[in-house]
Amino acid sequence: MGADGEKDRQAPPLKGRLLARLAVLIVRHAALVSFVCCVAGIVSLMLLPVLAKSVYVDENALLPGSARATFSHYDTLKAHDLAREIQTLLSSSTDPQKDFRKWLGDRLDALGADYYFHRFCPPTRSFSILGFLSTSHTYEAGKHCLVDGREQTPGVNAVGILRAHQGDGNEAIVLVTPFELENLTAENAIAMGLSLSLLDLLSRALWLAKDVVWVAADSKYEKYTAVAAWLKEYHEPLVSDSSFEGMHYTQDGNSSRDIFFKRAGSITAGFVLEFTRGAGATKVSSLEIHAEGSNGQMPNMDMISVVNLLVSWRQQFHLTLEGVPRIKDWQWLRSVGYVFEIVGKKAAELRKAFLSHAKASFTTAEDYVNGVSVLLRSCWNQMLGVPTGSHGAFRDFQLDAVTLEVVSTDLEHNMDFLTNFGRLIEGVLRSVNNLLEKFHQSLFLYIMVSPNKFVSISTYIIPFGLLLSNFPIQAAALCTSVKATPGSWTRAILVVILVETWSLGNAICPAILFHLFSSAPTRLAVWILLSGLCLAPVFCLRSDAHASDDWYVPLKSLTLGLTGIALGILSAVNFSVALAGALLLVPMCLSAQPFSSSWRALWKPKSGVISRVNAVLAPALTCFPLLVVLTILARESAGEVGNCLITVKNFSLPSYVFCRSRRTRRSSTASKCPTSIKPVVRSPPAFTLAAKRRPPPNEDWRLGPGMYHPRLGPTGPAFSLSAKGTPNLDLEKMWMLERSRHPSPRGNWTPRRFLLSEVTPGPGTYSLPNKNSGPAFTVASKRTTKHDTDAPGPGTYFYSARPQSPSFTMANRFPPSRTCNPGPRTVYGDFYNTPGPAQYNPDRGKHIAGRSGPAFTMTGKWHRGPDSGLPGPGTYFPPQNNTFGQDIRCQHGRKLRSR
Amino acid sequence: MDLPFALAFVLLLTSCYAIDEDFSEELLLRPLPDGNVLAHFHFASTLPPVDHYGVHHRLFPKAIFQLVRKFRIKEMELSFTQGRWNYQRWGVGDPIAQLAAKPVGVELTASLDVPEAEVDSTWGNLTHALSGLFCASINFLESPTTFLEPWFSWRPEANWTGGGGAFDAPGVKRVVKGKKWSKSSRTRYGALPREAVCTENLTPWLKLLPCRDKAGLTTLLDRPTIYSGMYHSQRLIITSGDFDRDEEGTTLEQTLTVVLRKPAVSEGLSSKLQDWTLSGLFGSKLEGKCPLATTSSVYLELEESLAKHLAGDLSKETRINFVDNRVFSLSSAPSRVLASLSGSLLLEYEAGTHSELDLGVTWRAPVDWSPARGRFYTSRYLAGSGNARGSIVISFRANDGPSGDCYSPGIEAVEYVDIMILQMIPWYVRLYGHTLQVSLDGRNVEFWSVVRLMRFTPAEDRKAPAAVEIALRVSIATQAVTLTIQYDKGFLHIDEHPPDANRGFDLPSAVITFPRCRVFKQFQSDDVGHSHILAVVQVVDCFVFPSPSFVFALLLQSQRPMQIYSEVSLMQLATPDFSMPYNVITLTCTVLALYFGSLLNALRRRIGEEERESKEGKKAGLLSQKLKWLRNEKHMRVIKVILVVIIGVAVNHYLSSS
Repeated sequence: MGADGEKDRQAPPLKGRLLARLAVLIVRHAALVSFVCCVAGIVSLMLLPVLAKSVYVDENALLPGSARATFSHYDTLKAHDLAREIQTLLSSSTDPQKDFRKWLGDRLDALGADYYFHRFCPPTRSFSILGFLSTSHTYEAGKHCLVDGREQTPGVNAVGILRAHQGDGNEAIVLVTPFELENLTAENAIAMGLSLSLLDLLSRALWLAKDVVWVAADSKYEKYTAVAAWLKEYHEPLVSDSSFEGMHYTQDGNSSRDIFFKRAGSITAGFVLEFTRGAGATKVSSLEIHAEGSNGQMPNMDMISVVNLLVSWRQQFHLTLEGVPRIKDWQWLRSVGYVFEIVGKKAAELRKAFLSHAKASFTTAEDYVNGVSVLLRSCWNQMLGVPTGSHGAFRDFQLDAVTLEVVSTDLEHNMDFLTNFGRLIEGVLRSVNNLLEKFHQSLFLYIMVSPNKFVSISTYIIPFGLLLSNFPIQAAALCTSVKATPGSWTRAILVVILVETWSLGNAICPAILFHLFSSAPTRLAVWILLSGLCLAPVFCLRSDAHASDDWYVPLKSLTLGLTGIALGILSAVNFSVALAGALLLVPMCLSAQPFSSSWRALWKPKSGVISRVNAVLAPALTCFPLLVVLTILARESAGEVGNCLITVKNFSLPSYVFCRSRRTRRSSTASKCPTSIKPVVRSPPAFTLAAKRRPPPNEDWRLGPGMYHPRLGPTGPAFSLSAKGTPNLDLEKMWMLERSRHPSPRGNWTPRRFLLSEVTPGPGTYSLPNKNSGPAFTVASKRTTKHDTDAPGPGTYFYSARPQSPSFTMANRFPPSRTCNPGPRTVYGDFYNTPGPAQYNPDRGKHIAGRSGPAFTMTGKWHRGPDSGLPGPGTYFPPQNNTFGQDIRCQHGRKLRSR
Repeated sequence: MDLPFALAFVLLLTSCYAIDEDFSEELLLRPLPDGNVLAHFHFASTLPPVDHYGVHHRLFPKAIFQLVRKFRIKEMELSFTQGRWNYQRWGVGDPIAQLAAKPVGVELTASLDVPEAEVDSTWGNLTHALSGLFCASINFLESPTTFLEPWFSWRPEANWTGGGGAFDAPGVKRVVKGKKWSKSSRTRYGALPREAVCTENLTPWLKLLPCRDKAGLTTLLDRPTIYSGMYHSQRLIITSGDFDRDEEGTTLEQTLTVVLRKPAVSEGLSSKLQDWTLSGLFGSKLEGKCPLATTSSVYLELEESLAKHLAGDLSKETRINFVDNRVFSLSSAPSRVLASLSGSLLLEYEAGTHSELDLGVTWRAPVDWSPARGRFYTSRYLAGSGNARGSIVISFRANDGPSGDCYSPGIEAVEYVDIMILQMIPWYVRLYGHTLQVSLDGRNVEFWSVVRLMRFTPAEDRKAPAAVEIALRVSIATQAVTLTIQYDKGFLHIDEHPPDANRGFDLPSAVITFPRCRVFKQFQSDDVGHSHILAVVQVVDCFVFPSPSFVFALLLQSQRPMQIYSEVSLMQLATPDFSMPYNVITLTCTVLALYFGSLLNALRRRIGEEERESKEGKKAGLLSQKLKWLRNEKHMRVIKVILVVIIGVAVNHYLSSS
């Protein structure tokens, strides 16, 4: 292509400015540049584990580890007792459900906690293609649940709310312990015991400022479902008739009026505590953190770094992140690691030679392989878009949560481990309790490499950017390579639009068709069939011009550009999917040639390597979506427990799995067509994703709650109905008005939305004192300061302080109004003589966080100048006459006003 | 406070006693069912009518007197509260709970006797004066976005009990519009839910007392103790008569309610109750009384359900031995016992007679009693997530078991419950009125079938909060009432955010009034036979001749509508990234530089010139030209110097950064 471009341009290149010349240079050597970009992208991708940074706690208020944990062996013993009690209760009872609930209720009541039982049903599973547009599942529980066509008893979450003694009840921390009553394992019982013992400790804690909500999530259907159902009810209460009956559930199984759903303010953070029996005979207990939520969302990194810091500080655990185990056997990866190790060692030595105090740190091959394994796993989880645990339910409500999973073989005898774990949880809770604001400081876009290393977006965007830069370069190169005949571009655009529309139609079709079929295999078959149908337009494309550049180049250039844009957009939504897409699409798109020529290229000895590779690669890559589904199904058959399994089984693939597969499916359409002569259409993967987020303009124009239109035409604000005295807002008339204003021959005009209250309060309801309260987005402030007290009362000077002073502080984060002693969180007594949230010990903090306090001063040093006898800034003259004093006052006044 | 009663109270006090100032101090202790102890301090100063302004007073604080005169305060109530009153565990429908329960932070209600047009400005000045007096940021209430004018929740003139009030109009939907209501009220209500309460607010409060904290009951107020309790509420109530006639004088009531934690940590979970003594709770015994106080007494209150346990000890001959009975034993014998009609007991101890009073309760048997409970468990919460929209839900759920049905005088068969809700909502919460919905027992019902009266004032941006006042009437059999209204969250200007904007914004409590519920205790002098305890306890006539020693008992008898406060909710708004200004500055500067650079370039450059230049440039390539320029020795030297400087800076940077 590059060669063609050179031949085309007979005249010497225009000597423009540097940028233009650079662009021309790049376009001219597009093949080389994109090759270099690809290689650089892949190399930098492999370098990610080396480039990872150490985790750090960003939010100062967290103060992890600043207080001594009080969880002791005594509490562990109590946890063991409670666990044993649960097991004996369940084994001896005839009605374990009822007895257990009663037992739990009594326990929680004794702790002074509010408790209730939340009943829920798993959502009816349906494979909805457009699921991610309307993700509301209903967990409404009646007397029975209909699960897979059978009637079953609903799941019952037990919830205890520990009200903080002095807190105002605004915020809450959630602790989740999944349990399954039907087959309660020893680990499960201990988890319950430990949680109860921890609650007991917390009920006595004086430092608690936020309410603690403990949810014993009935994982009868699934861990995720239980937590999601509870959170859903917490945030979006049901007020329907049936739910009202099923909402409360007492200890004795009857519905009681007394025990109903209670809440505890806005949720700051959630922690899911899970205990599982480790496989194998190793007696090492370890702690795993799971953080990936739905659609690849991650919780605030401080959640992980606090846990990591507390663990590494006390050195009691082996903290791990889930990785891909098989990778560790890959020798080539290990050797790559060795190369990096050697290079890193050399760099460190070099650095040490120059700077004697510099730390010589480098990534060892072992670290590298582990990092790759964890990174891949994390990316894979993000890519699947399925949460790795019940913490994912929190993320759906924009709350931060992580799962802490204890993997151990003999918890019963591992006293120390349990005590340390209790201390860890106490420490983490205490840290979160210290928070004065919601989590907002730390990163949200990151990928963990190891428990104490992460790659932030600023690093991982580089390889992606390098890969993505191929698309515009290649598109530009193609653009300039041929002299387009008139109409070729129009045709290209038409073809792309046609294929896109067809694919979109195919994507929506299953949602409609699935109403006709009920059985899962039929649906799968339909899905596959429809996916195959996506290829249809490609087959239909006529091949009148035989592989001429005129036909093929504009089309390819256009598709490349669109693909690049779509991938860029997708990277903002779910980076892992975008990265995988880029890795997949870059070689595919760049090597795409008219199929006939590449087919021939395979046999022709003269043809280039790229063409040959392309001919082999393209069909192989198209199988990707199928491989994904097969892998997931294989995992299911292997008996792995995970969320995605059941969702896949029931065809409610999360939106991103769908998106991704649809993307790859459609992108594969081009290269899959064996008969077409010009299989060049690369549909951009996420192109329709962006468009679909908008509701169709012509649909559902009815008046909903949010549909206030700021400009309501001539009648003014529409909710001043009473003031206007027009009980029936003349909708017809206004429609006609609109219609006449925008005459359209075909009548497909878009109706404007009007505000018309159909519901209460009806016309004549409101008294609007002032019609000025108009549209909702007047942001400018009007500050009329009227202050007409003639008595200068004490505190008058406060008056101007609030609204006019800037609202942001650059100082350390101290509680603004709670620092007075003794504040609401101040601690008394010897036993609890540990620092509270606002107590800040700089030395300690330095030791812990590895960073000292703010050490910078922004003000200059004040040097006392020579005494010139002139009044300096701080010199004060008592007013000699009235004018002087007035002057000062005036200035002051002006200053205030001008601010 | 109920005005008729207050007037009667002042009237009685002033008529019974010579025209003189008076001060009384009382402390009520009540063991709570969950093992904690409620202590309610009550100090009352009265001032007879005076004819001059600014006279010296013997007991009454001059600061308050001046405040009353200056701002013509008819009634005022100011409360500082920390922690939540646990309605479920500590009681709803009894007078003490009514007195004690206040919303978190500062709440101020004032009724001012000034012309209508001046009410708002007088209120503003009053907040400033109070702010200085109590070292609190009450002056924030001056801003019109923080206070409102309650229409029917605080109207003293509205007749709730009788059948004639506007509220009673059956089946008529009424919307209060603009000025349609008979006359505008001069009452203002404001709340600051974020205000933190601490000793700096207590000290000026104590200074208003004649004995400060030097003698009498206030010596018990050990700061660490009262601030480490579970609930702390400090109040100031001012009532004064008609300013024009000036016959009634002024009353100042100061109360402090604390709920103290169980003295010891219980190991066994079976018994919640713990023994306590005054010295154990407050760290010191009560020594003597305030010499200036007319009355100084300590009461121990036993609730109805607790007092019932004593009934077993009862016989005709022997009175209940309060010092030592089956349920508990007291450290000292009460000097008097008062019984209310409903059966609760008030044991009175004179602080002055005991040289050293260390009242204590030792539990003998594990008793279990329940607090007085209202008909409904009320909660308000925000539904929805995210920064765009949500809804405010106020829900009432009927309580099970003994729901202390409040006394409704004059109404025989109560078939319905009246509920009034006053909710102030800041302007940045943009309510959608048409989404207001009521559901009964999980069914959405027609709005006006339930709502009797509504006043809905939309907010004005940065000027006034939205005020929603709704009066509901539901059947007594109703199990659940839910009110929902949807809102959008507004965007705030960057300088309107508080310093910790990411914490969220507090929505003040909803004030919920049950106008037909009259909360009071009636103490009876003669044995009417309602309770058989009454037959034996020594009851002193306190109703007919209200001696000052029963200020408290009298207070408990005052009829007031039951009022409860909902939780304070935290609302997250879309908060800007406050480091953004720097980014914006950088970005803007870059964009401007690029824009002006290219614009100037385009304006300055001439195409012909460029072509000429390029033609000239053809003779020698750019590189060779540059090389020629480099070969000049002078230039070479300059370049060398620059290079050395750059290297130096780089090395320095490298060293300092590592």
